[in-house]
Amino acid sequence: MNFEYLKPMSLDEAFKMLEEHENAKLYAGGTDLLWQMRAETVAPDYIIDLKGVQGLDKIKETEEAVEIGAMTTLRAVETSALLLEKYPAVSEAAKVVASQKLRNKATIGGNLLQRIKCPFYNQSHINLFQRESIDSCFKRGGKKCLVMEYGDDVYHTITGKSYCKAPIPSDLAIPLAALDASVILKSFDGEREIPLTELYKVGGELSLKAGEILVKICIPKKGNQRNGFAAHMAFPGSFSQISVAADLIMEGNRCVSASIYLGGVSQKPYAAQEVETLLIGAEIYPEIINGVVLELFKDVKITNDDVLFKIAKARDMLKDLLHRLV
Amino acid sequence: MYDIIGKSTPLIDGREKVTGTAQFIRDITVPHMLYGKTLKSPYPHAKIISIDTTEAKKVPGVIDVITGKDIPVNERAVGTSGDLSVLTTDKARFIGDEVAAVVAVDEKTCDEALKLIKVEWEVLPAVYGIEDGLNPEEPIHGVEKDHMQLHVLTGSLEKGFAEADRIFEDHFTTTTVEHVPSDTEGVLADWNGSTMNVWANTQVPYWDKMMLGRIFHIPYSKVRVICPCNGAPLGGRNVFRLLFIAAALSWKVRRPVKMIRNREEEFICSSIRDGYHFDVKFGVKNDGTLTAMDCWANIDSGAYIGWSHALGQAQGHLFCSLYKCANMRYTYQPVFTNNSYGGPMRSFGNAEINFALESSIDRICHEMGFDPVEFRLKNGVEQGYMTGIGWQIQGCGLKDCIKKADAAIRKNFVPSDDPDKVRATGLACAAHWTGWRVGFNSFIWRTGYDNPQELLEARPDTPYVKVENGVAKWREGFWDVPGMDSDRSTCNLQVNEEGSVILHVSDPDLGQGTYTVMAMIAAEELGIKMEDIKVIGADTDSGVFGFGSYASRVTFVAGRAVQNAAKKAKACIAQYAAEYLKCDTDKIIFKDRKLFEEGNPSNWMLLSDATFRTYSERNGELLSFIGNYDPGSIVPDVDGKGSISEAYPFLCQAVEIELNKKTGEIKLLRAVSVNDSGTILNPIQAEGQVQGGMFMGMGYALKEEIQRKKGRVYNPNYTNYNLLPMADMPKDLHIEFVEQFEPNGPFGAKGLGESALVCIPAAINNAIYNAVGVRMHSIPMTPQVVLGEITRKENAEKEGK
Repeated sequence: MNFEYLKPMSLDEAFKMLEEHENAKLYAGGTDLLWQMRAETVAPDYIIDLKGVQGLDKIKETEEAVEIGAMTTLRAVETSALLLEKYPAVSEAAKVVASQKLRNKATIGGNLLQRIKCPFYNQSHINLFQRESIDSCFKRGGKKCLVMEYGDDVYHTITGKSYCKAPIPSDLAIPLAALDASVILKSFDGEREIPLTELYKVGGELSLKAGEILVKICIPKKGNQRNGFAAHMAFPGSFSQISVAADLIMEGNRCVSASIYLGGVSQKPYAAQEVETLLIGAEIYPEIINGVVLELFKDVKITNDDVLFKIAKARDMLKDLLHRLV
Repeated sequence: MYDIIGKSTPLIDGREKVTGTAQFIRDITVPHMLYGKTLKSPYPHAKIISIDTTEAKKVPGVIDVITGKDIPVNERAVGTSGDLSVLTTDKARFIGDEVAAVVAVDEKTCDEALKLIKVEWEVLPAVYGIEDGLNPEEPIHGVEKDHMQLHVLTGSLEKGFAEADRIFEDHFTTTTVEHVPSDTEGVLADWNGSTMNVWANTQVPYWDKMMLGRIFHIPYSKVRVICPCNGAPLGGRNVFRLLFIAAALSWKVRRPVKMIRNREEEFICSSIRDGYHFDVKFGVKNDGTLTAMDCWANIDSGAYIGWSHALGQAQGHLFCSLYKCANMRYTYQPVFTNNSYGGPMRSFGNAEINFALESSIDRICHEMGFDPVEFRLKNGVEQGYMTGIGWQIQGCGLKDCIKKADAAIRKNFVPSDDPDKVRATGLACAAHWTGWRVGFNSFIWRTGYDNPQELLEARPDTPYVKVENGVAKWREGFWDVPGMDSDRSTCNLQVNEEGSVILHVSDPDLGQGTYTVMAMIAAEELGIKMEDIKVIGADTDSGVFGFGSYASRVTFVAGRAVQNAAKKAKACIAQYAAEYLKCDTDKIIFKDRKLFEEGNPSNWMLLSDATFRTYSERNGELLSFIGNYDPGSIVPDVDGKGSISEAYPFLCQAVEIELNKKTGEIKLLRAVSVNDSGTILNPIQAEGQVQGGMFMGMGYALKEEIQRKKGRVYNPNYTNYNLLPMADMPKDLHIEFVEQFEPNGPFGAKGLGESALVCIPAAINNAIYNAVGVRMHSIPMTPQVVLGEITRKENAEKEGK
């Protein structure tokens, strides 16, 4: 693991470094990058530390939106009074990530752009013999996706058309998708704004272009929003097996708008339209919630107990979340 | 009654540990120290055609690269049945099997060199499970499976089942789990040309010493094994391959070599808890009498036999010693697979067999309409009972444990008001041992033969005998040392001139606090304070011997040794004090750093005066006493029967769970553990042991599993290996001790450490049944498994309608 450490003091300098150095990786909090380097899923020659770049770690409110700088730490996101008031779903998602020690370092940008987490891909390659042992993931020199061979389990997607079965690893992406957030990507050529959900491509890769840097996340204001987040993980601080975020706009008992996204089930944040359509325009009572959640993943084929559990747990979590919000 | 015994006493090394000054193996560095790493097989089963280390040796910073051929006695050198070599030379039998080792100036250089070692492999077909292992395409060891089978039988099964009104059959499986020690395997070996000094976080320093002597052909006097602080190996360091690899590297380069396993290696390359398949069958009369008990256990022994034979014997004893039954059989079939090899782990097979046994007992009770508590009280063993397999039970608080655990879990039970979340309780009980009479030769112990010729005649196909020039000999390996029928520990207690004490103990403290208990016993006997004692940890050069720290034996066996030494010291000092106090020696009491005449408290002298006087009268001869204890247990006979331990602890544990019927998730609300471990010497420590044990049992029951695909472990790290998180521990833990005085133990104590986790899996399973009417048949009982079973039951009921 040999690399050169670079520390730009401005975005322009960072763009220049990205262009001049091949095989360079951006370094924000480092909690994912260093880990990936240890597992040898990435082996950069240059590390460009963004901590010297000013102004990327602010949470601001404008007339139309709340903007979160990409270098804002998860701890800051978790404790931001503004987010706690307007978008508690985002704070709640930040709160479940790893431990407070890591959240003090990890950034929201890094969380959104982290590599996939799959036991067949990157969880057990610390030692040479493990890397060399037969049956590597197809992304690491193997021939095929091992989930295809070994069958579905709780760590992998249950829906979606991707060959790679690693689900989206970011917890923050789920509430941000539910809140209809967009991301601002900057490069030498200027900047572009894309919906957050489009940041993730089927296949477990990101739609970031070479030379682009994620600088901020914008959450549009829509008025009286009620939102929340819940996650299920094997133990606190591990990666979520299932997560769910919902954003509702209510007029009295009537649901005007509903946006529900789930994580851990597909490669992009999964939009639960089967439930949304039943909620929008309806008068919401507890009995209705208990009924509509049964529609979630109704078309997913149950191949084994792991999938059975994942669907049951997702429905249960969504039910609890909707009860909490309504 | 006592000044120190029975009073909560903090660990004597607690302060050092929490302030970071305690020395663990990682903290030890010596001048000129090098680092070592091993090359491991990436294939589950592959023949080694050749190993080329030339390129690796050229890496700057690399001192040397060795293979098994560089080690004087390499083959069959490690493990109880001697089928494990220091470094494998013929073929790799699991992913992680170690075939070569590099020694270099640092670990990074070692890693670079490892990449350059060229091994030519011939990949062989591999087996990954018990079913395949029973009939492998390519035998892993070339030993017929029947040769490894063993069974114990009491009475007649045929008769027992004929007498029964109902017969119950069931199948249970358990999974493989890791010990997950906080301190991974670590060794610093220093062969300086004349002496082999080894620092290691081992459990059995004296066994290691003997093996080292044999491997390198050096006298035992030139081998020294020292145990620094040890972070809970939990049984995993009884087979300690890394120790011998580090020693071999040091032996080759004549410089100190340090090797520490990283977490992934600890998961994959060290021994693990074996997985089991149990087929059980019970015969029961309508009046609730057990007429027959039968169990066939197939065990995933992994790539090497490890401790499987011993585990089998142990489980046979446990299966046959909890309930009174005239006709019992336990058959044990180790199966080789291309998974990592099994070894001892806290409870030594008891948690596994208890899951099968106690789940079955609960089923019998439900189906025949018996009260589970009454049934256990009726059939459980009791004081004075000799079990079918030969256990002579003396102190026995089993029935008190059951009654108290039942009362505690029933108290404050509040049913849930959420229809999806059901609350229920479950209970299970168990017996355990305090020390095992291993002998020093596991297969002799296993078969009862101490002569290879006799074994050969009785079982001509035995894998443990080789015939040379017509003479039967034990096969090469560590265990061809003549059998040593013992379970002994010794200590050296030295009383200084002013009455303070230095205590050399033989069995290492693994973090569970045995040094503290040893000091407490000595202090109590000699009437001194804890701060007057210094305990010197296990060091094979300290002139004492002990079998090691396993089988819940240390407090009992080593404790009796300390008591023995202290009594000798007292007798010696009293001789001289009696002249001063002008009373009989047997009238002298040691208390509060003083010596009193019994019944006459005004006639006393200071201990320091007495000891100084003793030194003076003896012309300065050291007041040093060897304490000894060898329990009155016996090595099992040819039929595998015998009272293997001198004292048997008992326990009953119960849990209250809340089961979410929609998701299968289990939340532990309360847990109760009532233990009969005799007198509790240090309550705070005993309670900690039980808490830790219950925690381990809950993780084992609900979450932990080494997940493998084709022999490759996919979760060898804390991220993916699901340990029970602290948050899932029940908030309400009720721990109680039935202090049944054990006549053989030090101050009436017997073992506790291992037993504390044993009943938890079965108790949880019984609670699940009580909640939803579904019985689990496998460990771990994850939400997926539970939900799957509930769903299948519901579907079956729907179809039935």
